[in-house]
Formats: sequence, structure tokens, C-alpha cells
Amino acid sequence: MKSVIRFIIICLLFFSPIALYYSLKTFWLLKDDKYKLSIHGSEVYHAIDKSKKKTTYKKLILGDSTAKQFYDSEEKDTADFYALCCSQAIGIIGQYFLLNNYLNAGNRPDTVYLVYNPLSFADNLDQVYTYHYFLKPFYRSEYKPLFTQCARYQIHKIPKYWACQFPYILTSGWAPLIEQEQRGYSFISPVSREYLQKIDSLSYHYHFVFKILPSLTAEHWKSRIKSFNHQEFADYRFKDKLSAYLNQITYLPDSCFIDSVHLKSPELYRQAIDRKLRLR
Amino acid sequence: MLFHSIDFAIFLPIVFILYWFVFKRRRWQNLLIVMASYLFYGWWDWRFLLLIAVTSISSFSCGILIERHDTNKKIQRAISAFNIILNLLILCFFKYFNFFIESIVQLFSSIGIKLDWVTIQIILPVGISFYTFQALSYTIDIYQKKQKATKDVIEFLAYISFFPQLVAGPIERATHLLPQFQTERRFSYPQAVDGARQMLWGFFKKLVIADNCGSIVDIYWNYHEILSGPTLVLIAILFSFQIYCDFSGYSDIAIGCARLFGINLMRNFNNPYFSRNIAEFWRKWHISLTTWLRDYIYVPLGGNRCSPLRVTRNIFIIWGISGLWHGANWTFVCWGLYHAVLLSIHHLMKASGATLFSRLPHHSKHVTSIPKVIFTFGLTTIGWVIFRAHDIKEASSYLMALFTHPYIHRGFIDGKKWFVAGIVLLSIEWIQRNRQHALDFSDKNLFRYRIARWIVYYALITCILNFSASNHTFIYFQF
Repeated sequence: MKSVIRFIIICLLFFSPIALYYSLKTFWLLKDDKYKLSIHGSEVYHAIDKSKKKTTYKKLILGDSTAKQFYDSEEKDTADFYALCCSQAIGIIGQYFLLNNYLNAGNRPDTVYLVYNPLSFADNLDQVYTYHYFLKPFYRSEYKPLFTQCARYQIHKIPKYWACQFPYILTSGWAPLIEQEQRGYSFISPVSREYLQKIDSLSYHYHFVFKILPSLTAEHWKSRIKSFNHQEFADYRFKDKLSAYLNQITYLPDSCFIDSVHLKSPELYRQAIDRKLRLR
Repeated sequence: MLFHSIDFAIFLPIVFILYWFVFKRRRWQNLLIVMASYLFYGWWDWRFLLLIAVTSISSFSCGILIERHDTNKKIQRAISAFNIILNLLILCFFKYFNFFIESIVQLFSSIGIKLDWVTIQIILPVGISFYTFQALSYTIDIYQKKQKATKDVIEFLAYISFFPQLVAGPIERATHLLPQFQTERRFSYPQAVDGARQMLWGFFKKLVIADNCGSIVDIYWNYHEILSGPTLVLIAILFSFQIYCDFSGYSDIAIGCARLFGINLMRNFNNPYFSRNIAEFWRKWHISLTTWLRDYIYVPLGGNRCSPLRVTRNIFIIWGISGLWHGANWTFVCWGLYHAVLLSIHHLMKASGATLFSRLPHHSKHVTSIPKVIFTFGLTTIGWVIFRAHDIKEASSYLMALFTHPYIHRGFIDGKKWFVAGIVLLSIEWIQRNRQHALDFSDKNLFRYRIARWIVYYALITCILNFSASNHTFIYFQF
């Protein structure tokens, strides 16, 4: 029995410096929210902070990482637009929260653009990075009243969702394994659909024009996009917007992309995109 | 429950303390192992427990019945056949039902007959192939009189469900594992420390090397049609590293974890990527499965001791089964048959006395081994491309691209550093090849000082905490 106790003591001694180090590190990172700069999804925290600022911009651009290649929320904004683009892992729900923050800060845009990859609408809070990019920044008391039943149901399916605000987990790169469910939809997930509707409602309430625009897409995805089931959004108010969105996708050869989603040289297409958004 | 989860980090110390401090007697310890193992397995889906319970109870009862009818060979054979058929039916239903239906429908549609057969949604219980084979070997061993049937159901349940090796092996034999549940276990400090070290090495291989290689492979695999030749080679090699570090990492964790409970599991890997021919590779890769197939199928079929034609037939049967064992997909069958072809060629060449590298100078064994090792690694890597592909079309298009895409260096993607890391890891394991695992410091040297050993451990833990890409499950869980 002595040897078991010895083994346990040695293990405790061995792990105590690690525990001490991580406790101190966590404490240090939590102070002044330094963790927001150092962890996965730091761009989301940046976008959240930015969404709460009062500005005079009339054009707001929301979007995923493909939009971020053109309108980076972390870069200085031009006089034409205000960008809150970040990773697609925040989902349409995250885009809604950013927009809501922006409006609550007293901003009154006349046009809000959602520049989005056609494949990103399928995000149903079941992505590999959902824990880092969505749960950690948004599963907070501030946003909880804005969760619909459907969103809450999806969140509760994420392993250890309840632990996402624990100091060590919040400040670390740890996230549980999220296994994607079998999807009963091809284009737009139930959560995306609900929150797109909510964004649409905000546009009526705050009198701004809401436009959904496709990002440049690789030829690789053409057949898949063509096979999208339009019935998935047939009953919704924004059905015409989504149909128009799907019809105006511009396909580029696969060789223009790093990973078939992100462009190798976005600067080559910047002017064309600006024109599309009527920023020039 | 995954080994690299918070759940397991809480589960393991609790079970360890209960095992050595509360459930001190052998029978109670076995009972604790069964309860802990069922909790571990049920963590995925409690419905899986029913299957493992059916497999265990059936094999346990059949074992007793076979022994009871010691004088009547016919009844023994019938009972043994019943157990094999029942277990294989369960395995086939859960693993292959949809695969067979889809294959038949496809076959008929290719000759113009349309069948309206429907597939059903079946959840594949993790590790079903592993514990089914373990259960089968028990009754076969009793039938062949290599093993006595146990009358203690708890000890048998512990043998089938022992949580460290339950979901991805090593596939243990009753002759090796069961006696360990039948004897008192004493805590051995050196054994437990060595087990913990082996676990640490396994975690490092899995979380740092395998998962990071896997992240790169996952991103670029689907775009192989647009990637250059060198990039495709790099991706294929990274997958070779991933699958090795993933599976052998799991085995290291399993073996190390078992040693904390005073149980020794068999070695499952022995530097397979340093093999000089394909036969040697299969003696060193997934040893527990290869020896299982050899002992229970290959040898009864005649093994090597028959005409070259029959040997080739036996090899193809074994590797067809091995391919199917890995998964319900034609890619696995093709992967198995690809190895059958390689092994048959190797066997025929060996029988005729011809070797591929016969013209190499025989100055040094190690120097002449290098091209052989590289050649064998290349062959296995091609095999892994078939293994990794989602379907035959994808496998052939990747292989085609591998050999036809321009070999112009367009700058490697992010994989270069993990390629180097993989080489370093394999080299460390090669240096430590005569030991149980890479962190086996049994003959001391510099590592007789605790400080030196702890520096190594802390370095590995730092790598795990800083470089792990934690969003991957173990590849072999799906089998």
C-alpha cells in the first residue's frame, strides 16, 4: 500500500507545478481580458468590441472569413463602410448578435450587407470551431435572452457547453470534440434560418436595407450548390433574397483558391467586390 | 469516453484509487473493472452495452458448454459454430448490413435491374470488431483445448470489456489476459511509473503528431485534384504518420493504463515503418490483429505449408477479411487486396530466392537496409491512400494525381514542420527499439537522475498543452 501512496504523491508533486503555472497563467490572462487576444477566435472578440462602438457609418458589412479577406474587421475602416466580418463558425446567429450590438449602440446604418459563402449557411452550431468561436464569446448572460429554443437545443448538444465560461477553459485552447450530425438539409440549417429571419425583422424595425451577397466561390462547389434544395427556405419572407443570392454566385477556377474556399490573392478581386457592394 | 477527454482525466484517478484502496480483493477488483469498463463504454451510448453483454454472455456460456461436452466432438463443434455465427451475425448486422445492401443494389443496377431495397440507419458501436474477435478467440481456444473455460462470469466480463483496450485493442487472447484476472494483483511502483510514461508517450504521439498531421491531411485531401505532385506525396506521408501515431498512440495509452492496474497487455506495434519488406511490416503493425488472423484463419487454411497457389489463395482470403474487418467500404477491401498482392509477390520471390535489392553491396546491414525501408514505406503509403479515400474513385484519382501531377515545387503547405516532427518521432522510437516504448528508461544512463527524466516529461507535456490539435477522435475507433 505504501508504494501506491508513494506513486500518488509523486504524481501530485509532478503535476503541481503544471497546475500552479496554469492557474497563474489563467489569472493573468483574465485580468484586463488579455485572453481575448491570445486564444482561438480572438477575431470574434475584436468584432464584438467593435460592434458595441458608436459610429456614423451608413454601410455595415457582416460576413464570414471569405468576406473578411476583403473587409477585415481588424483593419482600419475606410470612410465607406464599417466591417464586422469574422469566422463562419459564429454562424448566422453570431452575425445577428453583432448586428444587434451595433444597433443597440445607437448606430443607424442605411444598408447592411451579409457577404457569405454559400456553404456557410449550413452551420448549425456543430462545427469544429463552434466551441471557440461561438460558445466562448456568446454563451454569456448578455446574449442568453436572445437564444431561440432551436439555438438552445443545438447548444445543449455540444459536449461540455456548460463549462465554456470556466476560467481555465475560457482562456485556454481546449475544446471538446464536436461531431457533426447527419444533416437533413442541404443549404441552410434550422438555426441559420431562424436568425436570418431575425436579421430580416431588424431591417424592418430599424429601416435599413438588408442585402445578402455571395462571396466568390470555387468551381469545385458548383454541382453541390446547384443541388441545394430551395424548399428549405420556401416558406420564409426572405426566400426571394436567398434565391437571388444563389443565382448571383460568381464561380472562379479552383486554382484561384488556397483551400477551395479562400482566395489566393483577394486583392485582385477587391474592386469588383466593392462595385458589387456599391462602395465605389 | 475518449482517452484525451476531461471525462477520462476524472474517471481514471477515481477508478485507480478505488481499485487499490477500496476494492482490494481480486474478485472485487474484477467487479470494479467490469463496472468501470461498462461506464467507460456506455459513455458513448448506453445501448452499446447491450451488445457487448450479449457477446460476452454468449461466449461465456458457450465456453462452459464446450468444456462440459468434452467427450462429444460433434456437440462441441455445434456450440462453437453457434457462438461464432451469433457473434459474426451481430458484427455483420451492425457493421456491414447497409454496405451489403448498397453493394447488391449497385451490382444489379449495373446490369440494368433496379432493386428497391432500402438501407436502415444503424449506429456502429465503437470497437465492435475488437471485442468480437476477442470473444471469438476465447471459445475457439477452448474448442482447441488451448484454454480452460472460466466459471467466473465477472472475470470473463472483465476480460472482454477491460476498458483500456476495449475500443481499439490490442486484441488480447484469453490465454494471455484471462489468467491475469484470475490471480491476485500487487501494485508495482516501477510498473506503474513505466505505465504512466508509456501513456505520456502515447498522448504525445496522438495529440501532437497524429492530430496535427490529421488537420493538414483533412484540409488538403479533398483538393488533391488541384495540388502538385510533391504536395500530394507530402499529404500521403503525413497520413502515414497520422495513422501510425494515432493507432500506436492509442495502444501505448492502453498498455500504459493497463499497467497502472497491474495488467500487462501485448505489444501492438514494433517500429513498423522501419520494415525492410512488406511481410516484416505486417509482423510489426497491429500485431494483435495480424497474429489473430494468422492463428485462427491462415494456419487452419494451411498457412505457408502448402503449394504456392494455395499459399496465394490463403493470403488473399486473409487480407480480404482483414480489409473488411477494417470497415464496410470497398476501399478497405481494395486496401486488403493490395496488401495481398504485395505479400503474394513477396512470398513467391522469397520461394524462388529472388530479392529486389540483391545487387546492393553487403558492406553494412544498416546501409543496405535504407533503400529497402524506404521502398517498403513507399508501398505502405500507397496503401494508406486507398485506406484513407472515401471511395474507390477518390482513391484512384488521388493515386493518379500522385504520379501524373507536375512535380514542380510550388511551395509546400503548412505540413513541412509536422513531416519533420514525424521523422524525429520515428527516429526516437528507432533508437529505443529494443525497449517496450520510447520513454522506457530502464537501463538508466543519463536518465538515472530524476531531474533528467522530469525535464523530458515536462517537455512532452508542454508540447501537448501548446501544440495539440484536440478535435480528432481515434481513427481505429470506427473499426
